[in-house]
Amino acid sequence: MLARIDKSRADWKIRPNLVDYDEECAAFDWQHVRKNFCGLPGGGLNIAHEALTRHVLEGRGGKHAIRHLGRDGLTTTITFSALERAANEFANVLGMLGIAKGQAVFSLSGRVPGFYAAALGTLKFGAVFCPLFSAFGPEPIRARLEIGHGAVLVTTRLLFKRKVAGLLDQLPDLRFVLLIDGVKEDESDRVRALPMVMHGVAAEHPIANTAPSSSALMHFTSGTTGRPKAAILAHEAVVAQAVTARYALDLHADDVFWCTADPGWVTGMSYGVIAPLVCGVTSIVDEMEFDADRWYSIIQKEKVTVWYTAPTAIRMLMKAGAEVAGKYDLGSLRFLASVGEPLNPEAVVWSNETFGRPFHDNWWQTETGGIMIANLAALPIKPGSMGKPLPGVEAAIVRRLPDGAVEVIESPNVEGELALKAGWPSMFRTYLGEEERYRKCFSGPWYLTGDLARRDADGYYWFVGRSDDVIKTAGHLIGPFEIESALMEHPAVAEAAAIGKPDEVAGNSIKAFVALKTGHKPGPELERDLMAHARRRLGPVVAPREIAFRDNLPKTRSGKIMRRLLRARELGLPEGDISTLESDEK
Amino acid sequence: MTDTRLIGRLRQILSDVAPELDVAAIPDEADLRNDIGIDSMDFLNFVIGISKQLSVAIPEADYGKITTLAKCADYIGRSKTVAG
Repeated sequence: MLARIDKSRADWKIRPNLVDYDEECAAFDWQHVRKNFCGLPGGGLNIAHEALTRHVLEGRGGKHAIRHLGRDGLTTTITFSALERAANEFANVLGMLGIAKGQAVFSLSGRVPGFYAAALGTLKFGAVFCPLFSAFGPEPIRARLEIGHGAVLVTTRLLFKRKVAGLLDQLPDLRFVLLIDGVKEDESDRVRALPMVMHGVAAEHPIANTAPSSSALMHFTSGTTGRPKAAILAHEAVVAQAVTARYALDLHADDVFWCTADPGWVTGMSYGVIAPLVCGVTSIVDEMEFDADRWYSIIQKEKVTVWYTAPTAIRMLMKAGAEVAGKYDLGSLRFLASVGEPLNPEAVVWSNETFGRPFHDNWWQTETGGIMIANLAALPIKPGSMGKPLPGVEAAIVRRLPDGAVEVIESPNVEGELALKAGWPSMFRTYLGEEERYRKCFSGPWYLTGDLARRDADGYYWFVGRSDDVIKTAGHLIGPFEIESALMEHPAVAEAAAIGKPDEVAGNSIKAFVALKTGHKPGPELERDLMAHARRRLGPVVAPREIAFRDNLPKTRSGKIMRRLLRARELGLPEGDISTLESDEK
Repeated sequence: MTDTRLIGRLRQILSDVAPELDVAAIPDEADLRNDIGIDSMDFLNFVIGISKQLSVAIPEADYGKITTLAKCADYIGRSKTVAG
């Protein structure tokens, strides 16, 4: 395996935005960067203004913001001006419905044009936008709407019928459901057809005078225990999202950019919606799910120059084979990046051989709001590494001390927890309603990421593992507690534990261990019933792919299930410290 | 195997992957990943099920040709014919 992929200036199609890494890092200053943003009169800042209004005011309104490839085969082009008008109309709808600034507007949809108008309209209005992943089942949807106090949900007729209609009684905060493709017959007190509500609404909207620190976005993430956490990002996240897109994705104004992430996840919002709009590039949005031939044909037809995708997709492309790629002219590609989980070195090398361009892995989290560490266009790639901290990002490997403080590990190649010096603009501002959990993420000046990593002598960071039990599957962070809670709702289940199990495509797949209540017998029929129950409640992404029955799950003296031990045994790894084990697996 | 019988087998395989689905109600022409709520990993498991139960290996490059139950049955029918 190649230890390093070197870059030559001769390979540059255009000059990368970041050429001299050390010089750029030394000169970088967030205060200075903030001045490049337009801002609102009186010192305010609003993401939608930077993403849309600024382009219109500066004469770029006619440029294509989004080329939407619909499932019906039609391509819809949306200019910056058109998107701004649609966002204004949506903002006016929120006003008409009596929604207050600061309230939460959720979305649950695929990649349809109405989603983009709702996201930007919400920001323009001054409410907080929270996208949900459309593959979630009813339970994750209900929990998130409840935790986030969603006042409005924007969705489609089909998703509403399948997943939300049965939840309305349990969600007193949810005032309105707006159906993007709704018709008159759908309407009730709380359910409205968006095309009808929007009819005749003004296409102008005075933008909310939000401050840089005003709440803008809510993204859910998971911990080992407890309910999902609602990380809040402020409007000034836009500063970091745009700057990092120029550094780590090398976005230039003439780029055709394709971020394949679903907007239900933070990548799809930060780099699928906000950053490309602010940078003024044209984004490709494909409504359909992954298909190797379709993806390559999109790159060829739309002349995609910068492509940002995820390891699971890259591994599926590898499985499809280089011959499939060979059928297409992919010569437009200039820069390839990947995020979601560590990209295996083979995939980096494969992409370099297949596309003549390597994938650049980068690292960040929901809580960081934007890319923090990346392999860069002008620097060598170390396959398997997440790269180097971006200018303006101070990273370190630290060790937690018993008193709660941390000690920075200066020596290279020592494993520890990856920490970031707090204060970059897209850093999360709280976990909604869970100040204590938020506070625990910090020690002195450091934000503690929960990821274990090491830094090599050249300053490249390498992911080692998680310090907790959360599961990374297909790039998504899933909390075991959410899975276990759903399984426990089944009348036959006494105890449940969920772990991640290595999977060649998804990185990890979810396996659940279940102990049954007296009177219930394990067997294929019950396994199927449990699987159906979990999938119905959680959706396919969050539900386990495999269920194993046990008489008893290993527990500590305090009664906590030792997932770590189950995982070690499943994977044939050393069991580690089991001094707290009280009741073992049977 | 007739197309109807084959599609019946495919429904059963799909049901093993996603037991929560009412597979009998899925139209033959429905797009499996975009219409009925299964994800990419489910789809891979569906293909693995086909390979195990019907002894038809479908290369990744052909996944775009089996997006619906009807297309899938057609594909399998053809590959069985070619295989003799």
